[in-house]
This record gives sequence, structure tokens and C-alpha cells, in this order.
Amino acid sequence: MVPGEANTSLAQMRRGAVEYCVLALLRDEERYGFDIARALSGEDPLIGSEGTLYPLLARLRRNGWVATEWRESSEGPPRRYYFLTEEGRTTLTEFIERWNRFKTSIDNLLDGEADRS
Amino acid sequence: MSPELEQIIDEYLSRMDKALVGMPAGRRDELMSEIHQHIVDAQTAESAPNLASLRTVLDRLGDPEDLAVEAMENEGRTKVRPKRARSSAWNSMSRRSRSLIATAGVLIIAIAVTLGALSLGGTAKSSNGVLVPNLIGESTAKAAAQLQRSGLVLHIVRVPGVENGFEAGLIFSESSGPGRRVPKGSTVVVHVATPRH
Repeated sequence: MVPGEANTSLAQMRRGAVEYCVLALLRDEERYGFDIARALSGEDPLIGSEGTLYPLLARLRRNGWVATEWRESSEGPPRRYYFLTEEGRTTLTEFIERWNRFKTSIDNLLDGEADRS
Repeated sequence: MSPELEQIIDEYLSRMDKALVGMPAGRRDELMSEIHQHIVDAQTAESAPNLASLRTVLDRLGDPEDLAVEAMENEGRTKVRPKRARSSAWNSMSRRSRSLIATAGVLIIAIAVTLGALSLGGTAKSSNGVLVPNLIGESTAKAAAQLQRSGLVLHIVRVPGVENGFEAGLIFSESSGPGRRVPKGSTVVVHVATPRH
């Protein structure tokens, strides 16, 4: 394997999974952009740079999975809050099911290989 | 926020705005306003917002030209809808050609902006920029006229269904601090409340 290839594959997976992580962040509460960005950029960040969250949010909105509402905030100007739509909730539930199956089969294979070596 | 910090934010937003050529105006305004809001929120979250913290915030956001490329690529990468969306020429192009075109666009703009800045450099320095008028509570028509006189660019973001007593049709928030001096040609983003449909 070319050095760094595992890293690239992981980056692609992260890219694919991050949309659903955003949906998951909105499962129980509505949040504003900065809040979501910080939740995604922890120790092992799920987004490359925080700014890339916004094109992603726009995509989720166009898919009809999230919607927004402007709300006055206690400090400063009104903020745009994101929340899950019914369609978004269904999408998230489906993803979680598929993800769990995917995770289990990958884990089984990886653990099996580790046991043998 | 100090005028110095406001100016750095404006420069960042202007760079992004200029790199977002070809993006539909509505989407572009929306993205600009979200990024602006992010910066304000990030600075508000700091115990002592200063130049260093602002630099960190902008670093974490990413390079404005890169973000513009990402956002424009994203335009062609939507929809998992049941009915197949009409595919535009842009959509049917390969990802690689799209990103090549986007990159080329950004490069051309970067060159144009640099040339513009070089030719304007002298005048901007001597006049020390233009004063940003206070547009809160104004109608968009009045704001447009005012900004045009000052040589500034108006970007209107219409916010449907704003509640809590913002009067429809009037500006309720403005990106640049009124009363500040900014380089001629800077973009001022304003939010206007519109009734919910």
C-alpha cells in the first residue's frame, strides 16, 4: 500500500459520514452554524476546515433534510438555527441501521485479521 | 469589535465574495452571511476577543478561496431525490473538470483582484477608505443609494419569516460596523426581514 493511502480512504469515508453526523447533532436540539462547526472539529475532526460546514448545510437543506429559522439571540444579531425535518429524521434512522451493519462486518473482518497475526 | 478587527473580517469576506463568481446570487448571499455570522459567534465566544483570536477563527474557517471552490463544487453535487434532477452542463461534467474550471476561475479572480488592489492601492491609502453608513432600519432602496454614493457594494440577504418584531422590508443587521472606514469597493452584507409565505 502506498504510504498515506489508508489516510485518504479514511478522509473519503469521513466525508461521506459527516452529513449524517450533522443530522445526528440535530436529532435532539436545534443548533446554529458555529455550534455545529465546533461539535465537528474536536480532537479527531470530521471536517477539513470549519468553513466547509456551510456548503454542506446548504446541501442538507436542499435535500430537504434540515430546515432553518431565524431567531433573535440574547447576545448580538439574530441567528439562523438549523433543525431536522421529518425526512431528515427518517434519513438519519436509515443511516444508523446501515452504518451499524457496516461497522459490525468491518470490525469482524479487522478483528479476525488481528487475531490471526 | 475594534475597527482593525472589523477590517480584517471585511477583507476575508470580500475575498470570498469575489471568488464566488457564477454562484447564484441567493446562494452566495446566504453563504456569505453564514460565514460572517460564524466569525461573529466565534469572536463572541472568546473571553478576550483580539487580533490573535480572530486569526485563529479565520484559520479554522479555512482559506476563503478554497471555501469558494468547495461551495461551487457543492452546487453540482446535490440531490438524492427520487426523480432525477435535470442535469445541467455543469452537473454532467466530471468532478475533475468542474474543479479545474472552478480553480481556473478563482485564479483569474485572484489575479484581477491583485491588479485592482495594485492600481487602487495609492488612492485607498491616501483617502483612508470610505465611511460605512448606518443602514439598520433603512429600506433596501435607500441603503442601495447610500452605498452607491460611498462606492460600496450592497449584498442583500432576505430572511423569510423572521419573527420577534423585525419589520418586513427593513434592514435589521449589517455586516460592517457603521461609522467605520473600509476600502472602496468593499461588500456590505445586510439582512432584510421578509414575511413568511
